[in-house]
Amino acid sequence: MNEKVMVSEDSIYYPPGGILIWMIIILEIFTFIGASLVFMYYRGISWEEFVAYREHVSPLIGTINTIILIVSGYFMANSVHKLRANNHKAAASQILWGLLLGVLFLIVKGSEYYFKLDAGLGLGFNTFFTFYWLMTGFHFIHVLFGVGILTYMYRAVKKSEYNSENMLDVESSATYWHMCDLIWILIFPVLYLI
Amino acid sequence: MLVVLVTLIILNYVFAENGMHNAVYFIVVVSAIKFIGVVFQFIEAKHAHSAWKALSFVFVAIYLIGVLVLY
Repeated sequence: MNEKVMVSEDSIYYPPGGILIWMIIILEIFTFIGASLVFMYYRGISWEEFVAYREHVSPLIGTINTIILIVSGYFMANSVHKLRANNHKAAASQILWGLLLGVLFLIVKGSEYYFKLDAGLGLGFNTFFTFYWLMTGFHFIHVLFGVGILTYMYRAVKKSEYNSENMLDVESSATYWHMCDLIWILIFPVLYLI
Repeated sequence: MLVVLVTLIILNYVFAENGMHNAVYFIVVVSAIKFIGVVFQFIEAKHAHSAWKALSFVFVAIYLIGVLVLY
């Protein structure tokens, strides 16, 4: 079947990246907003404990990781634009930069985890760190999965398996990667800054 | 857009670290702006149906109101 189906970009059934990835985004964002609000609720109950142990997380490291993820998202957004212009080489290069920054995020986060565990601040240490590990840990898994997706996309775009007429998978992958940005934007202020 | 987002991230850090009065309002509002920026510019929701744009604002409203009420 070679019939091409034209779908309008502003159709409710075709948000950028496709409706399925948006269904996932809705579920994920609601989950992490919920987690952030439950964190704030417990923060209100155990205010002194939460404020004291907030000092054990580094806002600077968190800020650096936020910048890394945002810049990585910028490269992924660029890769979609480049592929729309059928510039495969530039698109692959942009995905590679996004991917490398994603790996850098994981390295920074991994080192942060190492120092937390070394200091005995594990999952069961107290309520603050239970939230810290669960919220950042689930986000870490999302980024790890995203790095896998970007690795596949880098290989596929480099081999010109996608083009401007066939790029929904690339758009969906980029949207998934932006979802990782969005989750971090929500959880970073409540865990590290407030 | 990238410059704006990175500037907002750095401003958030400065406000949080200086312990400024009512910094929480600034931090949460800036986070909401970053969220909308990523959704509209990076995911390109600006080209999407208005229902998806509205949904993005609903997320932000729930987050903003929830965090500020529970703070």
